[in-house]
Amino acid sequence: MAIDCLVLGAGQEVGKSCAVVTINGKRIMFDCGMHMGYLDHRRYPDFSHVALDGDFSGAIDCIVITHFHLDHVGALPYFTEVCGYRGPIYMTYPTKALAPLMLEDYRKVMVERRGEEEQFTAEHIAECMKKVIAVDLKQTVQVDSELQIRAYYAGHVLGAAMFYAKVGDSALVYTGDYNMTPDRHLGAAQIDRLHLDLLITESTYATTVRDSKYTREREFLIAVHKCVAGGGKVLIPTFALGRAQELCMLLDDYWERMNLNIPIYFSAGLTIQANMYYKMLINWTSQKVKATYVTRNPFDFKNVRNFDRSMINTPGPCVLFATPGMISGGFSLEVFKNWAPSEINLVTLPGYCVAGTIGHKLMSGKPTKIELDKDTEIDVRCQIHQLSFSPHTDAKGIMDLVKFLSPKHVILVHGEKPKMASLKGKIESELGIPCYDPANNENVNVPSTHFVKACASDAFVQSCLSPNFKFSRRNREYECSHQKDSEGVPILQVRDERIAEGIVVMEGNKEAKVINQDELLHVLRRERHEVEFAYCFPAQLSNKNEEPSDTSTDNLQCPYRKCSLLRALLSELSKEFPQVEIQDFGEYVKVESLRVAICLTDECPYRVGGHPLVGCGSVFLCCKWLSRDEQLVWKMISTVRTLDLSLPL
Amino acid sequence: MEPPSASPGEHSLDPLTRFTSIPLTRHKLASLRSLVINPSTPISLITSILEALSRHLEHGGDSLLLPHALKLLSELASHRPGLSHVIFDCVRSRLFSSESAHVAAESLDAIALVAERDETLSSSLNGQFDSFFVSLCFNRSVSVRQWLLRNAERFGVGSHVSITVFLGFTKDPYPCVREAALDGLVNLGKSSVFEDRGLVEGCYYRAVELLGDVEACVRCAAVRTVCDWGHILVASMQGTEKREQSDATFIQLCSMVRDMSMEVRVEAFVALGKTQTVSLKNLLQSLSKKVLGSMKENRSVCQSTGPIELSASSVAGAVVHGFEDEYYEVRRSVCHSMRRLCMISSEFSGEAINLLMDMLNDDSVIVRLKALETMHHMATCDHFSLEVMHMQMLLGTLVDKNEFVRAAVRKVLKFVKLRDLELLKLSVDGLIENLETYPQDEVDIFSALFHVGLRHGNFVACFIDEVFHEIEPSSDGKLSLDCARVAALLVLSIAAPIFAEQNIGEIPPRVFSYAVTLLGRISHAVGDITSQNALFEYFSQGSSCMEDNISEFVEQILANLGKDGAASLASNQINDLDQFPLGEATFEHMKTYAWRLWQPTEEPKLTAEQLQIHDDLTRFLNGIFTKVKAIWPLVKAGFTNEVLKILRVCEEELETVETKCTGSPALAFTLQYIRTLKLLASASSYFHPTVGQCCRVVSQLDILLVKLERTLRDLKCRFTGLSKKDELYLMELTSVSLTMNFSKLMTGCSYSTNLKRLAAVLSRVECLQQEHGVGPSSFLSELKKSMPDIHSAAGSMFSVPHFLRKMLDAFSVKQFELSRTLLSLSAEITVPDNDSENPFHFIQGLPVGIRLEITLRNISRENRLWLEMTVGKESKQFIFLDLKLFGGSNELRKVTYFAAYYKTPKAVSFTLRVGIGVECFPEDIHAGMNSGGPKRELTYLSPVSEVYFSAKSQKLT
Repeated sequence: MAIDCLVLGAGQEVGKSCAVVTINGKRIMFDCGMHMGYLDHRRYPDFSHVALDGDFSGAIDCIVITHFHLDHVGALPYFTEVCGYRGPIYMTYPTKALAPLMLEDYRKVMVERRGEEEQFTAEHIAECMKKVIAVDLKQTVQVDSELQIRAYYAGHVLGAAMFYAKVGDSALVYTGDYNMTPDRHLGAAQIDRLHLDLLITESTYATTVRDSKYTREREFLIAVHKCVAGGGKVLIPTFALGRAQELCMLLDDYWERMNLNIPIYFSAGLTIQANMYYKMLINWTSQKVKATYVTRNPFDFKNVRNFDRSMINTPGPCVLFATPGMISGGFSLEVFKNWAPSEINLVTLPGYCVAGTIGHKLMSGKPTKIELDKDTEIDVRCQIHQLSFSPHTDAKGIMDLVKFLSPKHVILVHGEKPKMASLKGKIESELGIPCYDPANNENVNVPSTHFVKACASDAFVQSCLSPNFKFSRRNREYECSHQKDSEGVPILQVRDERIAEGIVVMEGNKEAKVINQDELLHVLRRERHEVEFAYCFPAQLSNKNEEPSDTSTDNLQCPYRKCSLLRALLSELSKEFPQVEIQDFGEYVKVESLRVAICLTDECPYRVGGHPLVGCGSVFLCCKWLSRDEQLVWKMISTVRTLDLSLPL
Repeated sequence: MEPPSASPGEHSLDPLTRFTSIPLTRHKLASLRSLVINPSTPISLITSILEALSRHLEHGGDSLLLPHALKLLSELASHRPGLSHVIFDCVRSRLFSSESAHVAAESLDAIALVAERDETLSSSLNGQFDSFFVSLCFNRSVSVRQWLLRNAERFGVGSHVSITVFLGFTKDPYPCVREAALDGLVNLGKSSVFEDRGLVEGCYYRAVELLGDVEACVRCAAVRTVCDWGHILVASMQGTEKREQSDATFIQLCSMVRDMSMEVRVEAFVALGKTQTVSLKNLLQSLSKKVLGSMKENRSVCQSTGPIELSASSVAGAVVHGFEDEYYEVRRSVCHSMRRLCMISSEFSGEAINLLMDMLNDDSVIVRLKALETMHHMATCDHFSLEVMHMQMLLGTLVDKNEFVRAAVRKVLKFVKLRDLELLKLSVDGLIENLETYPQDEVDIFSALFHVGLRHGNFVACFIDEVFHEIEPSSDGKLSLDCARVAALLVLSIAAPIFAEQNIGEIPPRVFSYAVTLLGRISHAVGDITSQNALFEYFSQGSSCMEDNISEFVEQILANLGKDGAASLASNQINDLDQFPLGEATFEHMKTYAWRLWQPTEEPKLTAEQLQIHDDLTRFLNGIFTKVKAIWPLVKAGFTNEVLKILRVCEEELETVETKCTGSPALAFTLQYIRTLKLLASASSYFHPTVGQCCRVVSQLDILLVKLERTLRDLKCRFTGLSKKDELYLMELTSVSLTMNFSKLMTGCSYSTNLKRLAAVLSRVECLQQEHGVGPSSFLSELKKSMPDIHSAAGSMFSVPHFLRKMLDAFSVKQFELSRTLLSLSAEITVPDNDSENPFHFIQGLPVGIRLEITLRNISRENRLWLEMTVGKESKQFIFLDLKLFGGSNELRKVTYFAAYYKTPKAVSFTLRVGIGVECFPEDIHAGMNSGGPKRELTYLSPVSEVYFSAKSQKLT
């Protein structure tokens, strides 16, 4: 049994997330995104790898969308309406509500402004959305008789979720994008401790470790405040949803506290609509927002107004939120063209910009001129503040999640190649979990768990009910010599035997069965056989205090004498082997499975070494033991041989 | 229901036969219970019930009824302590023969309950049930197992047995059992001492393993266990090993702060807050998410890369994560644990302050308050160094909407040590802004400014020099003292010279004259460390260029600061002071120190007249006294209602003043006096000729007289330092009250008691008069004349009203001249950690110990204090408070007192009222109270505090 993970997008790159996972025969497509940096065929994942014949409905059991960002949902209408996928699609309620907005916005920008060829129509989006089944957090959805999926809160943006999928005994988690620290408006990712074979995680910030968000917030506020105090205009290009709301909350609070009355604008349209969705979907926000909601809706911003295109060149300070985030076009580019040439203005850049966008150009160094296309060039004199806060988790967050979930394998997607390689090394060395960072269209195969169903015998169930723990003290010297990292390994160990002592029996075609140890022979219909070793050897008896040797044998016949001889042996042995328990049974002395008795038959078949030394008053000791104690027994025998069991009378 | 038969005899035989013959039913048990809890059920009946129950146990009976029968037996033992041995043996004999684990557990519970109430049994419990306990633990019932683990302590199971059991059950497949086992280990770690290193290691490492448990509740318990057993392990080690182990524990706990469960995270931070020692590099690492260089260096030394790298990454940013947490519960617990961590290292606290400051922007008030409390804590242990940026954030919080947050910021400012003038300016400006925005905070702001001034004398001197022109009157001679800023600057400047190192000349003396105008407001604000009079003296000295001697004021400040702020003061510039412990013993030294500062020449002489002119309060009170004196003829003329109205207005006036300056003894005295006069006026109206004998409502007058007597007693006993003249006047009032008492229809006995008291008062009056050389007032001379008549009268004749009226006519109200030395006796009781939500646990019928924090003011050795504890209406218990137990001086004594209350009622919960009373003066001869209690009437010095108790007992889950 194995899990196959075919990475169609976001393999060693950021954009067009798409992974097709085959798990115990079920095929799930996680995310169906588009790449914002390309305009050609590279913009969509290469779906031909999924099914060469184009029968996607037959090839894929379901599609799971983690959140509404275009690089996670952008190709969905294309895949369903153009490529003809007809199967179920799962996403959370907010994603279902917001994804069509994003898709429609994108379609408009592409077709109406840039005059590009239409990839999908508005009807396509509507049709596609009809196929979507909305799920709630922690709701287990039975896709079919074998496949189960469940959504967990991921932070990141409104409605973002990590998805858990389980087929039979194999399970995996696909994180999508997530955030491990809460921000102003969304909580931190939240997941149970699950038994996972595979974790597919994003790795946008595979090497970055971010410091406290409070510092970043403070710096941002100081930069904005300084700019508006100097009469400048602040352009904050953001995605319509998510960052915009977080920053706006931050600014609104600050404005309130500092009693500022400089206008904050939202570019009309999508953002306003998005705010409305936030107001409605308050349940998907952070603990903090939910708590505030009791008194007022925190998304009813007090200082925010709508912006009009004509206000771009109105004098006086202001703060403007405009889409799209990376100044890749649209309104934010228009405003940027107007405001960039003035030194007093400020442009804040999001934490991450796709290569090829203006945002990316601004981030790499501080250019004075930016070529927009062949004919236009913009003078950039304004200040630039880079927002280092991001809705993605940082390297530490990824490590924390991997450590918490402790899956058997990890696949990294949605990141830059060199950084992913570094994180991969870290996961493998620090956590000891095999990790992969496949490129696009690469397939990763990992083994999966398969449990065998077994019924339990009554005796086993009975034995399981009562506790049965044992302690064992591990030998320190042994630890030191065999394991270097013995530190942290318990010296005193506890074991509960009740489960461990079962035996799995698999007979021919019959179902596997767990039975108690005692039942084994009965089930196998066998007698108990044990291999016993025996060894009979003379022991020394010095003849001080001794009767003449001919009577010694007679003496041995008397029980008292035999007893005292054994007792002497016992005390000698306990002196030599203080750590083992030696029991006296009268007739013989017992150590583990070894029994030592005085041999009285002359014809003992195990006898070695002839008659006891004449005149020394020696006797024969007959030993019997099981193979498991062999080492110990030989050690003992060699010790006994050297002993002088002179008998006190 | 069987009616409890109170009379023994033929009735008792009947139920006896019934209980023993018929098998028990649930219904029957209920009626038996009503007999058991009735204290008047005869013992013979009880014995037969016991017999019936034990027979039921022996024969096994209905297994469903067994738990009820056991319950009843334990109840029986609690009501009849004499039977507990019999019951104990009975249940024990049954114990080992029960088949059901549930019943066995119930019987064990019953045994424990019986033993808990009987000392002789509880001591015999030790180890007796070890094997039974263990065998029961190994039973398959999970709920019984969990319950047994939770209650192991109660059965006297030996620690060596229980530790084995607990440790073993940490492997149980049921999470609730694992949790119970871990909690058991935690409790065991607190109560027993374990020598065996291997065992301690075993427990510790087992808990460490369970930090990775699937269930959040087990992880929570594991965090607690790792914390506690980690400390035990560390304690057993020495040298490098010790250091390494404490680091290892710290690392383990840090690794839990990123848990997905909020409860676990909270628990992890609580545990981190108990850290005793940890290496600095680990501490600093917890503040940075990036792995620090120092942690990496270490790796190259150790050669073994894996674990160190791991440890660094689990510690990395642990604290930061806590501060960033989504849940306020977590953020609050981080703020709290920072106290302990900051105490460990000043370098750490220097870095941590950045993070802590950010918490002042938190949206949760609780978190903001906790952060400020932590800062205050850091300031008191001198690990709090403020930068300008921090200061701005801290002062930004001064305009917080929440008053508690503002108060907490000011508390921090009071104790913080400012490094330079700029910081001082910032903080003063912040406080002034606070004053302007929230004028209602004035008292606390003045107090804060005063403390800032005390602590930074030299900076303040420089600062005042710069801004003095603002205080000075403007060109048209107008002094803008009503302006908040000027008032604040004045408070600051007058505080500065007290501890300033070299000279106080830099503060212009005029400041003190200006400050006098604010005397009331300032003295109110700094009431916690000095009195108004002392402050006034200080002002008058200050304005005359400090030529005078050290005043009472500095003594007081030194004494009070010594008591309250020893720790904080230790961080101040006065290095001489922190060389020795502050307290009574060192007072002389402090005085000499202050002498040196002030270069004294002469004792100040301040007359009462001077005081009266300036002290508006005294003037006000005198006004009241005059007014009251003037209205008395109206009472004689019969205008009682009008007089009462006037007195009520006076009372209201005084009450409004009292809200402003609480704790003024003169004010309290006057208020009490007005109340006395009200009663006196009401009472004397009954003796007025226009009110005929027929209208006289005896009971009402009697109530009035009792009240009058009590208020007079309060006046006498709760205030000390009255002048002889005033004391004499009080005696006169007492004798008036006693005379009026004769109008009551009294029996011979109480009549003679009253007579004796009157005689005692008169002799004391004579004494005082001779001492003082004043003649008797007209009333007293009249009274003395009639004394023989009163003696001879048998009560009946004397109650003729006109006789009394004649004497009362001779009485007139005089004026008190309250002296400066007037002090009010007061006591305060607080019961920590107790309210109706968190009652103390008690066991019915057994004594309980109550921890009381008692504060006494102005109590001298002559005063006999009693602690009165009351349950319900009559059940009273008195404890004599030996003043030798209290530390401190007459002005302030404080002690944590453990009072035992013996007669705990047989109730599930009860409320105990605790109050402190002082015994009255010897002339108040009174019928002796019951033995063991006070001999005379008590005057209560404290408001009654309520202590809540509940007898919750753990039930089988």
